[in-house]
Amino acid sequence: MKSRTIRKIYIGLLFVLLIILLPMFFGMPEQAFEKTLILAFGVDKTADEFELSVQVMVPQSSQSGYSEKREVRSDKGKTIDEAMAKLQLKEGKELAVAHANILLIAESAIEDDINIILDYFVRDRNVGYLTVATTPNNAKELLEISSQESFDKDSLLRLVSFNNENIYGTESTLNKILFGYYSPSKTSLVSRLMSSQGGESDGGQGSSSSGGTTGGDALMGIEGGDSSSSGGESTSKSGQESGQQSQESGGSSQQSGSEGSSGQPSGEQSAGESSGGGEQSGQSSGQNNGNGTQSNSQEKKELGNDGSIAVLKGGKIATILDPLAYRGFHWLMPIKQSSFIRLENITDEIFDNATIIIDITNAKDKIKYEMTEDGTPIIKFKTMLTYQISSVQEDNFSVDKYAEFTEDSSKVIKLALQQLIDTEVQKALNTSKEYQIDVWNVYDKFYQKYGNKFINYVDNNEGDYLKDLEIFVEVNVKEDKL
Amino acid sequence: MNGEIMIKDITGRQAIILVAIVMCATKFFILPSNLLSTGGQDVIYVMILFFVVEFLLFLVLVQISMMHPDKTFYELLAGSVGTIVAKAVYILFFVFFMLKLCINIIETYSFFLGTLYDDLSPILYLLPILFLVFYMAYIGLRSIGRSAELLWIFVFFGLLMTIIVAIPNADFGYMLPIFPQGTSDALSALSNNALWFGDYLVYLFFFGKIKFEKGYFKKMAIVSGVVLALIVFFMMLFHCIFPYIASMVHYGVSDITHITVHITNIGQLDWLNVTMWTFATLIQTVIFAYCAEECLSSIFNIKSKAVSCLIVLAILVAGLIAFDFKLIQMLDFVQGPIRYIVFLLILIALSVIAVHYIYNLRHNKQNKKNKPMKTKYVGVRYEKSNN
Repeated sequence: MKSRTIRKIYIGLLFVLLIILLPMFFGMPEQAFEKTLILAFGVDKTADEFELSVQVMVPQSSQSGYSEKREVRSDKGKTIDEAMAKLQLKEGKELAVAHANILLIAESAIEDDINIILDYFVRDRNVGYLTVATTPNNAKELLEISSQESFDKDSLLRLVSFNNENIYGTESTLNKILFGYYSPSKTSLVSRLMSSQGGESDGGQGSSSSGGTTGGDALMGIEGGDSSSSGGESTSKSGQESGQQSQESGGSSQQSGSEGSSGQPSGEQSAGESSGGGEQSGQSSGQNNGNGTQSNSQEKKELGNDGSIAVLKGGKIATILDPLAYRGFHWLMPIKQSSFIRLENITDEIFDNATIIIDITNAKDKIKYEMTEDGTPIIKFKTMLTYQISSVQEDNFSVDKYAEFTEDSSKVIKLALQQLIDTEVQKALNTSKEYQIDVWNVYDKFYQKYGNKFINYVDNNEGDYLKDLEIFVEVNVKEDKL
Repeated sequence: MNGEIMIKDITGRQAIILVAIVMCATKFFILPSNLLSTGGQDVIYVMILFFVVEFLLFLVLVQISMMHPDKTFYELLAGSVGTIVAKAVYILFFVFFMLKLCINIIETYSFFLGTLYDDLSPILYLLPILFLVFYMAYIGLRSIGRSAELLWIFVFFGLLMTIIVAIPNADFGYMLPIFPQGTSDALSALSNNALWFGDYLVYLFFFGKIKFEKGYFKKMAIVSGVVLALIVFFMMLFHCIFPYIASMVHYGVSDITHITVHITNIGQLDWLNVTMWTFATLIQTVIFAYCAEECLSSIFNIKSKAVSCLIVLAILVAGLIAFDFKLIQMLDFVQGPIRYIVFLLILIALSVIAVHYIYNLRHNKQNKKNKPMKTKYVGVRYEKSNN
């Protein structure tokens, strides 16, 4: 056949294709008739059933324009798949999941294993990139609050991602959680969101307000320079136990200073029983970042992130870290977003019992993972912090004093910071050992360096590789005067 | 020559671009997940060794192609080991390229389905793709080369952007330790996915069709080396981003950018990468279709390109129907014993060195017999000059 003839045939075929395909597209119904767009998922557990809630977008067009109303639909099932199938039947449309960006899971629903829930979302190839958060309240209730007009469609996501990106740097995504779940450490960190009703407990269902939370600071859980004063338990178990522990931890928060005490969300009892999040320590953060807390004055319902982190071990909540407790872990993490530190009781030639608030502007860390001759794993953490003095609070502070601020004061600040960081890191280490949570991913680091030698060590210690772990902290500081 | 002048199909630059694209196009979809979920970081070290061997072999092939600028691979084979052996080798290559075509089309379809669409009819996807692929394969290597020359910049930019965006998420510590549990898992992972390798073998079908330019060998060596290094680096990135969950991540090229939180806040940049990467997969598919058609023409002496294209198309559609357009069914088959065809073909490619010497030996003897030497353009492609 001649080349020209073939070309003609091909062009002819192209037209035939167009004739066949084009009318199909013209005849297609509106997507809104066939699909319902899901924006967020919520999972609760009642008795032995999961309740799957979805926040859906309901597009409405009128003469005045186009609006997007959000509504929450839910159904129950023995598994997430079953609940989803029932929801679809009820909706009469395909539920399009590709636009969903957040999955809220009630903490009561993860009593067995979070993977029972996550597995559905991993396997559905249409589910996009999900951020995951747990809530001590009812996930459905949170979705309903965020569906109100006063919240935009991404408010839930922003509440998590702002904290992740600007405060604590803890990525709480589906991939990250699964990474922790399937890693040898079996430890994952998950952000928490909570709701409350204008600062009152919700319906008197027995929720305990987090005692002593005084304006948990979204900047940090700021603690006094005298680190010994911050003693006490700053972590707590989830669920019912947490109620008791929160009394203690709340107490410790009060000790750690009026400005910086952390919120203690773990004071709330397990979700499902309570929707009251207690007083939201994130209120001040809302002022700071515009995301921390949003409220609806009519309903008095609030949505917040107090910076607490749920630590999962093997898919179950091992403990909940308040921001202050989490800061101890945070020092050894590569990204240090949190930056404001309050040093109290600074006394030297210039200052007399002053409180100095410093802003860490840069941190260069060196972390060495070593095994001693007798096989004990140790971590040598050395950090070079660059700081700026954010404010000085002292009774008789004057401009002259500021001018006198000399190198000696830097030494005092260095000492105070060294003490503070060391104490916080050691506390975090103790928490790790107590709950056997490997937040620092110590297993991987030692395995990467020592290979089978470390595996043997783990085997000899029946899997408890954190038992003898020691951390040595060395802090160097430099003032950034620019 | 009766008003005919000899025209080479592609320039050296086009050949380099084509080889570069074909080498990497579908290695970034499901291959990283398949390899790394079973072999861990060790598979990357084994792959580096494998690539070194492949690279050296490829350079030998390039050198031989330059020594026989007017001989196609088939002519070389037939001229040295006889037409029967040449046809047998081409049958193997035909099977290889048909499998590659099936892999490409089903994998790309799954990729689109998993990243861009909620629902995508295989028929609607197949009709325009096959139409385009076989039209390009029909009109020949020159058009494919020109298209590649136009599109390579998008492909390169897409890959570069993917890598740069993903780097901050990687913890390269996960490349250690090296071979803690031996090499068996890594070797088995590599062997199971052998059909995703050996793409450079398409170069054999460029023999006698390249207009060599100055510095061609050097450029080809650098570009192919860089491409292989990029593939290794991409695998490293993938492993260091998803060290324990590689099996849950389906499509490397879109997922390693998708995970970047900062990016997702400003929109799905991975879709841009996906779109740009489409060009690479398209060119690769066309090249495989072209090579399959060349094999078929040579085996059965089919003169009409249109006929051989249609036969290849029919076989391909039959294959796709047999796999029911399902990735999992295709994987079951291509990870079975059929995968050893790649190793066989690599051995055949290696034997091209022997073929080259046998051909030279015979040719020299013939030249001595037929003095004075006559210029004979055996089997070289000619096209009528437009002038």
